[in-house]
Amino acid sequence: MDEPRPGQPEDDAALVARVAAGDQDALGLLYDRFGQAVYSLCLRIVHEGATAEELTQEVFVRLWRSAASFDAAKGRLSTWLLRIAHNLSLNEVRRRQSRPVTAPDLDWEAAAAALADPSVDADPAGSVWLRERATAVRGALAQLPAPQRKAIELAYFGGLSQPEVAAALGDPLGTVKSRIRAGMQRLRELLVAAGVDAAE
Amino acid sequence: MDRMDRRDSHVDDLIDAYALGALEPDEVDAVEHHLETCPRCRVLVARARALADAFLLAVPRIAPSPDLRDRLMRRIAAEAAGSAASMDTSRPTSATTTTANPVARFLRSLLGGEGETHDAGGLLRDLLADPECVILPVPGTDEAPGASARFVGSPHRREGVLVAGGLRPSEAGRAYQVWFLHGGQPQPNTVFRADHSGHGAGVFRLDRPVFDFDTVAVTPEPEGGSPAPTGPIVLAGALRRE
Repeated sequence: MDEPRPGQPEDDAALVARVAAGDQDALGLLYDRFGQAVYSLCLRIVHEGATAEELTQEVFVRLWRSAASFDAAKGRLSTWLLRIAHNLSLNEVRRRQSRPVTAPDLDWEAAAAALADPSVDADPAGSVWLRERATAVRGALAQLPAPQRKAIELAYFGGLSQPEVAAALGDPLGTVKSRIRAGMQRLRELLVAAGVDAAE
Repeated sequence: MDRMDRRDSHVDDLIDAYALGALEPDEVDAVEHHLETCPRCRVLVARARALADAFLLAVPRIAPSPDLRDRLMRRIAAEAAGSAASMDTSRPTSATTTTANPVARFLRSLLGGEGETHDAGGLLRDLLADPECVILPVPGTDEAPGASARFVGSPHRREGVLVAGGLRPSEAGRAYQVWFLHGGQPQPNTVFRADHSGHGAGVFRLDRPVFDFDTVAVTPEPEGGSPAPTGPIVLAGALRRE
């Protein structure tokens, strides 16, 4: 494996290979790179800092235990870590049977605007790819009609089924189904317009 | 919805909600049944999942406690040392972080490829790398109150591992058999032996998704297994997706 040039960060796959070989420092570097993204996602779903920190630890412990089976050809490490974080967080919410259906809306417009101020969203160790991607997706979500965005958020970050989303919002089920489909289609169009390939 | 209705007609109207995890269980079954035979819809699902993954990246960043890194690294150091003291003792525990027990130590030995059950270790490593991995407790019954097990599987796979501890060591010609129950009807599955310390692991393979069953159970049986249970149930646990 090539050594990174001075000043050039080691790529994710190289760090994962070091983790698989038992290198704890490499795991620490991956935490520095993705820990904040993982924690933020967990917090978004469970709404409790201590639990989000436990879940964040669990995500990186899973990386430690199964780094050897990570296949970079199948996807990015960031996506793999965040999927695990998403799954663990929803499991935790369901285990506590305290689904956050009344959680306040996330202001995607403000979140997108905050990117202009690095002090608000400082993540200097995070990957450039992750940051650019996040910018594009936040911008797209901010442009989505609020009812579509709300339905998608409750489903994906609240772990609710479509009938549960309908009950939470007081809308007919058919309306919720239509909004989710229309919202996802609109997001595809917005991301294509922003030059982002969701499958990348 | 009749799942057979969906085998020959595409499921475009369900795919986005499927990728978001927003379908009801019968709709999930219908989609997955259809996907088994439809490459076109598998491509659409992959695209919808990629779009859903993009949301994960977009959550605005909030910094965790500055000491979280130190706590994580202490826990990793403890794991690396094979220490039983791998719990983060500075925080309350949750179901997702229960590792300081005999089953967890046996799990770690499996993951390290130790002993006779290295096949289980390989599958365990695969499952733990699966974002959909589900780990469920399988407690001992009144017949074996000191026993416990972990079910490790995934909703999208038809195989998994049951890792048990606290069992009576298997005598010559005897073993433990795993059963999957649906509506109270047991379906025989893999057989495993408990070692001298009472630990054992069985790799199970099924002809349908694991969450089609509602319960997993273990009974002592002859070494070759039985078509129907003959021994008392020593381990039993509900199979739930969450």
